[in-house]
Amino acid sequence: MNLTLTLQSLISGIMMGAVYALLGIGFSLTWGVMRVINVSHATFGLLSAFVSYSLFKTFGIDPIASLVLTLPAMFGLGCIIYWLLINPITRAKAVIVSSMILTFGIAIILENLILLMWGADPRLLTTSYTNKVYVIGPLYFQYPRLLGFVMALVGVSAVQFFLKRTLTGKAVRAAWQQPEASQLCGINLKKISMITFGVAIACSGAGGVGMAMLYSFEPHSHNLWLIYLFLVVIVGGVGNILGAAAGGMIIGIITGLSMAFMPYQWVNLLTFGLLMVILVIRPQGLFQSEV
Amino acid sequence: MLRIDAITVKYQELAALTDVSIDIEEGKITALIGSNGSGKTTLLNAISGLKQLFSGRIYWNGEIISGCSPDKIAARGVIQVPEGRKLFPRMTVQENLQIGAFLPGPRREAEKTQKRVFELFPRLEERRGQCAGSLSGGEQQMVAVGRALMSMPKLLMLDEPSLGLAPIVTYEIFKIVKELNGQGLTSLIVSQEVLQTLSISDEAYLLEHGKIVMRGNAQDMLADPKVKESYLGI
Repeated sequence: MNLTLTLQSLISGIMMGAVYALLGIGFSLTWGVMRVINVSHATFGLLSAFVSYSLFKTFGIDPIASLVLTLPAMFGLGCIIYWLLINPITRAKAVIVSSMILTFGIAIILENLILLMWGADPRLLTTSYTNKVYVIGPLYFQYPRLLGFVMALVGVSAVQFFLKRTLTGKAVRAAWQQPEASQLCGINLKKISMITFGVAIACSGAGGVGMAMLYSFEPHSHNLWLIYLFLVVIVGGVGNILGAAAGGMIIGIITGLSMAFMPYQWVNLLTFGLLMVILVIRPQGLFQSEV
Repeated sequence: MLRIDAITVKYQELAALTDVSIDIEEGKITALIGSNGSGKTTLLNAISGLKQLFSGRIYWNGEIISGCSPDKIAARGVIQVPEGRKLFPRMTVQENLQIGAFLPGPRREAEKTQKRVFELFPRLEERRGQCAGSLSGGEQQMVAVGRALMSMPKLLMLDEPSLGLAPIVTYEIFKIVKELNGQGLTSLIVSQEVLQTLSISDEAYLLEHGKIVMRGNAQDMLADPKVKESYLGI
């Protein structure tokens, strides 16, 4: 095996995986904290990708810079969606199932909204640095991937900091670990869930922009992204942020390596085959569920 | 201070509490005794707003609080130490206390209150960095009481504080409740531990099958032949 090629695909894999992780942490959080499997999670990321695309094409705002606008907007959108649609079903007995049906509907509506506004053509977020490459010895680092990796690093650390160090974040963990007792301490479950959902959607927004810098995207791309979300959570453990980060990288490494050494049509077979093996051996995920 | 006025609480069709009225006076310890399944926990959850009433009202200093959400009731200083402690198991002792002081009022005083809690339970200071789930039952009960104190209660409601604890730990917990009462804290203790509960209480209510069957001075109730026979086994 060629050492340089191996190292190169390992690096690419880690960088791709970091973006999957960024897209996935919010998904893991709502699943873990609120028992809501948000099937439309990736669709919000896609929406954010299209918005950044338009901001870039029309006003020339760099996709990273436009995060200053898109992230708060996505947080707000998440809060509104929670208040209007998700909260009413959280009292249902089978929250997991009803949340999947509800958010599946949201995903379809969003996808068609995107189709209506942007059309069906695949888009590429081509910035001045899209083809920029850093070369270190025999290895090369593509600038957009590096950027996505840094974004993911910042995003994951920020969410981890929020959950472990801020009082609101601790309240989120408390609400998941012991909903009744958290209310007795004066935590408003509805409000804390709304904030959680907003944070999750904002993460998805950042992840969507990260994905858009790596791949071309079109109105139904979220379906493929969603599969990666499930992969990240299944490997990383429900509600486990660092687990999701590790999960994303593991999946990135597997796809990266298999792309380098196997015929292309085998790549997905290997990835999903491995997923099935994990599910059979450790149905609870490789890492523990935790918030 | 707290007036429960003829409340009925139902689980589907089944009434867990029927026409229950209780008065809690400021500065006193009120005991609510009764056997398993008599509706004691339901009553506390109704006061805390976790369980909706079917009929009746609950007043806090003359103001209706039934129908308010649990966080609004906690914000008034009506604080419950739930049965089975219900700590946040994967958070440290310190974090559990911090969540106790989540509301803006208690948050401002958190540092001072925490110092007091550590004075009451020195063991918690030693264990402050440990996960609450890894503590012994007695230590967990201390965290639960400590967490409630962090909320700066005006009324402290304890649900089965002695459940599953060694007698010596139970004694310690009751002693501290009495001590806090001496400093002016009003309490409501719900317990099957009839003898110990009654001996530190001022007023007492006996709940059977969701109905108040006896009320009066705690010491008188301790001497009552019916209570002696059914609950003390004398």
